[in-house]
Amino acid sequence: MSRLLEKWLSRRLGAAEAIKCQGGIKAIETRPGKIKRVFRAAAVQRRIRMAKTIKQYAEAMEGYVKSAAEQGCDIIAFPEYIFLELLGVIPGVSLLNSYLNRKPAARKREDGEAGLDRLLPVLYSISGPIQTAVESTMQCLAARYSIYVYTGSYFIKEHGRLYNGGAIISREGDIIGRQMKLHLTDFEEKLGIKRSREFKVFPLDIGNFAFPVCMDATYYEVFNLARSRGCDVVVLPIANNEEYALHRALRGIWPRVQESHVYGIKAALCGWFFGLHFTGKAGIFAPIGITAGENGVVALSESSEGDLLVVGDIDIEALIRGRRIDEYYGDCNPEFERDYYEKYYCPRKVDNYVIRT
Amino acid sequence: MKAASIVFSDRDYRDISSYYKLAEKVSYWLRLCHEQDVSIVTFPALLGCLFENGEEYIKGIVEQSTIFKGMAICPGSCYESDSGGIYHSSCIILDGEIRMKQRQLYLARWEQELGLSRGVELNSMCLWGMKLGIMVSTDVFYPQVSRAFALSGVELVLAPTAVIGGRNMSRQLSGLWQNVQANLFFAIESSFKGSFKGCAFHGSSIIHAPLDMTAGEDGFLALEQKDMEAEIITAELDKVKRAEAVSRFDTLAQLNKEAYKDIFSASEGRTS
Repeated sequence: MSRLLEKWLSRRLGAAEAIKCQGGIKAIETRPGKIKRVFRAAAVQRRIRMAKTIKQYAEAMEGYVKSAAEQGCDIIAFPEYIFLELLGVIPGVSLLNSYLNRKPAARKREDGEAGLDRLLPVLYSISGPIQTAVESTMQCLAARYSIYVYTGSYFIKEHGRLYNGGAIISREGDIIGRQMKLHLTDFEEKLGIKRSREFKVFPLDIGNFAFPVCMDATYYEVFNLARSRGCDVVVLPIANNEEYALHRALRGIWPRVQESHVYGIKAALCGWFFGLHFTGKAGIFAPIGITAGENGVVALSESSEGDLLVVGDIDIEALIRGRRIDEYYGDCNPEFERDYYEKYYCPRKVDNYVIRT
Repeated sequence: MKAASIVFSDRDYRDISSYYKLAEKVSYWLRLCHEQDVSIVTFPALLGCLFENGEEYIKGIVEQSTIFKGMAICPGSCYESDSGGIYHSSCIILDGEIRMKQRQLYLARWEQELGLSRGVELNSMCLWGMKLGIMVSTDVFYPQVSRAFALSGVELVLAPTAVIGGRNMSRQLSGLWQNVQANLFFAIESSFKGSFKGCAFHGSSIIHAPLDMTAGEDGFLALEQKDMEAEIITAELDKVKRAEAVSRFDTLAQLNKEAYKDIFSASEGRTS
């Protein structure tokens, strides 16, 4: 049954179909290969709507990319789980989604998780066609508008395992690389999603970028690794399945940007899916010392609901200058940091005692 | 366990013009804590650097602690000379004894210009069933210090801080507050206001906890209010509530240790 669904969906969402929807790959502008130090970035805030066809999905995505390109952006980032809308092409899913979303919003999260849990076998079998559809659509849009597109995240099957990750696509429409999520939510673990061990930084002609996913921003280690590999801008797609609250939101990319002195671009998924409520504000963040309001915010959505494109300017030179003068960035304590990994992440245990070397 | 953080106001900075006045005020704060059945209290950073040498300041508080038995005191911080280096240090004093010392591990630029040295060890101790450590001032901005504490099982961090610059809550949230949320320990932060060595400092005193266990879901068990003239802020540190909060959002359970193997292998920071 799963195989049949996969084959059927491949035909409905195939790359050829996505390209047809977009009128083929045709770049409207090619830019010189010179490295840009000041550029504009866009972060998508997207309310989930079930798509009836791949065409409808592609048109919705194109709206954001077109708007970003018209505003002079060099890169646009989509949210985590950007593929959910595509499930609407499967007969009955939109109906089931509407039914589950009508349940009281205040009901317990566990109920919602139980609802999504029932979808697991489906998600597993359709991940291939979905990946092809999302990537093909985004490749077309990147080439058509000559803009870097970070796809947002979807399930990626690799070596028989299912990951949550996304791709960065060049202005020419080529996939430069993919990054899978390193830290999973409890729910994703229950689903059987695997976490990646590999973390990459991608050199683009607008700076060095990294693309962790959602929960990854809870961990300073990710941004520490990114920075130590020369990263200047971190793109983070999120899909937070909880009611929005300022201080909860402040636990994510904002503090990571402050401590690691990089720019942060956050794309957020909103709305209802299978009885789960997603909220979040898209935004662009920078170290406090280089933001006009001394609050670490370059641009931020006014609402945690609804469709929006947040646009902000990124100045890599200002970032580098800021690193040189910030009181609380960049000190190094080689003696303390030596063997830090062995001392704190893998302490040797003897009987009940932990030995720190 | 009832915890307190000293609120060091702009007025205190103006009024405390001598070591004698500082000692008098410290004594007043300790008495206030004692009257409110406080078990553990943190003073702001740099108090021990303002007048006498640091040793005298600490000695004075050790003597006072014999009067206020059963109350653990983190006296703020002072400069400590050792083997040719000067360290920014703090300690825990209980019943007339220094029970644990901690040196600052990372330096702000102004501290580096003063020629301070960095500590190396991260210490912790158990007190009344809770494992605790001290984070000295600038270390709150280096998340590896908080993580090391959390991975060592520390449940309570005492943090005498001095945040450079004018009033800026964003700056302060980017320090200890966010590290508490990432590591889910309690923290008692007492922040210095005033000038020292030509630099201005401003920070609020805060008792932090994981936001899931705080009334406003904001991570503040107690927060110094701008317009109130409170001398101390206090809060109960409830281990059970903290355990419940951790069970709802257990950040450390999801660490991807294998992905971190290169951490600090290519540090680019300043060390001189």
